[in-house]
Amino acid sequence: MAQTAQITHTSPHANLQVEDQSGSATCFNCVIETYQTQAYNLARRMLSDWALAEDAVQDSFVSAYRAFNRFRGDNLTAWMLRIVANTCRDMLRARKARPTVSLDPLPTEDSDEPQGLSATNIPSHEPSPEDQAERSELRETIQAGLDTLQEDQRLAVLLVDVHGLSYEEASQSMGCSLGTVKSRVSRGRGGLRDYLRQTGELLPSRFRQEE
Amino acid sequence: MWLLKPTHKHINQDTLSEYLDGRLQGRDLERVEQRLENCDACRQVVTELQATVAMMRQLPMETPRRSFVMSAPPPVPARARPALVLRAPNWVYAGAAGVAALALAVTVSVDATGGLSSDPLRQEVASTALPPSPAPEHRAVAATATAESTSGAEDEEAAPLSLAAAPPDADTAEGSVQEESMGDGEPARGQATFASPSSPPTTPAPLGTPAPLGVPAPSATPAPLAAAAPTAQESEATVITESTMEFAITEPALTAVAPEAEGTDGEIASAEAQSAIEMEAAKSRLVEVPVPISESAEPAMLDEDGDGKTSIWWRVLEAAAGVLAVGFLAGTLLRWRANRRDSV
Repeated sequence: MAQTAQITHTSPHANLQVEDQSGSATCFNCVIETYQTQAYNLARRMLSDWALAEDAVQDSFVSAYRAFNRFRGDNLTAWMLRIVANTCRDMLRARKARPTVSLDPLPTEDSDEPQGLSATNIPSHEPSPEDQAERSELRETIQAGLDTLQEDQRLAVLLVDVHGLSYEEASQSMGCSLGTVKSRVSRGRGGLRDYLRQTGELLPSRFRQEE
Repeated sequence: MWLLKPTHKHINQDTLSEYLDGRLQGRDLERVEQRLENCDACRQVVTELQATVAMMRQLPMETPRRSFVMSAPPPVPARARPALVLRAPNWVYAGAAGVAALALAVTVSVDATGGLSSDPLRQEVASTALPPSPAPEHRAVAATATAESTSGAEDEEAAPLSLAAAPPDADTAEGSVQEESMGDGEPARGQATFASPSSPPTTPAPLGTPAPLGVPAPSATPAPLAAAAPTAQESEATVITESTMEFAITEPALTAVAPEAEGTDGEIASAEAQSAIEMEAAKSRLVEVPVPISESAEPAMLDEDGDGKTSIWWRVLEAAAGVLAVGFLAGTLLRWRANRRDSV
């Protein structure tokens, strides 16, 4: 798993030095570049809203910068994803408490162009339209199934199956015991399987023919 | 195959999930594999779960629409400084809440068990959970009536009360005095002898100095013990009867001692009765005299009038302890929530 020592520069940016609990200095923008994709995907699948996901990631990195001196230096991935998960939980609770409808136009895959360019707003590489369509179909199906799960089960499935964390790392990120992680992963997988069985469309044909 | 069905149990979903992740080892793994070979339903579940997990793991990682790299350190949030009462460590609030709750419990328990009464006998009665006696009212009436009749006797140049003036057969009537007085309330002469020894214990020592309270000195009252006016004696006997009833209820031990004192020296007993009545009068006037608030609050907290009602100062003390306990408990909870919010 990535440690602070493995964080390296990938692009020129402001050198923001932070120190963890042991006093080891790290370039925080390097941390951002390393984890922003994971953080964004986790937030987007937790929140099902790209605008909220961007806000959640931004807030998470700000929180991580301020709290980096409390990081013990053991597992940065689990620590970062825990901050993102906590931010997403807060946003979900706020959305439940104050349900709102965004006045912004609904985003489409063709309107992914950034609104403005700046030194800190550099667009990433864009996938081809075919890739986008395929990913969009798969993502929408899985996302619909994830939305049927409970919040904790969704987070457990995302951390273990999508982000590839071990049960131990997921327990650190979720702040719960190993047994709880096992149970949540199992129930999340079972719920997602039930959803996919009900839709009956996305399971590979070889699985459907056996029934 | 169908022979296995009655005893076959499908594999637990949690176990299947661990099996998919390769976390089962040894005998658990063998048992699961054996069951999967024999159970089509379990095998189908495993197959579907494998497909679900594979789809999840094949999900593409979307690239963020923008970079989150920071051009400058994020500004320090302008957090409002907590109030002064919330800056102390959390254990301070928890400890203060505990102390205040303890104080509240002590004050309420002292109030409930009669510890505020200045009358030691009342405290004893309260501690034995006896019902409250109507003594205070009777005692006050007796003392006031005695004082009035005493002044009236002065005008008539007669003794206010002469217990020694009881007829010689008073000693013979002592045996039935208590029953008669409690039964029909008839003024029995012998009953006056019961009041004399029983009154002194009810008079606390501080009340023996009636000078600041305006109570007339005992010497101001003439005490010709032998010459009793019939009218005054009659009225006093009636009053004392009520008082005797009260003492007969609350102080039976003292009542039993009374005949001996009367039998040894009637005049001394009469003098003691007179002084006791004077003390009762002073006591009743003490209640009537309002105590200034500027005086020390400690005596006001005691139930000196013996009416069984708690002083207002004690009520204030109880309320203050309750408010402090609730306030510090709220502070503890607020502090705990603030600490939880600060932790990432």
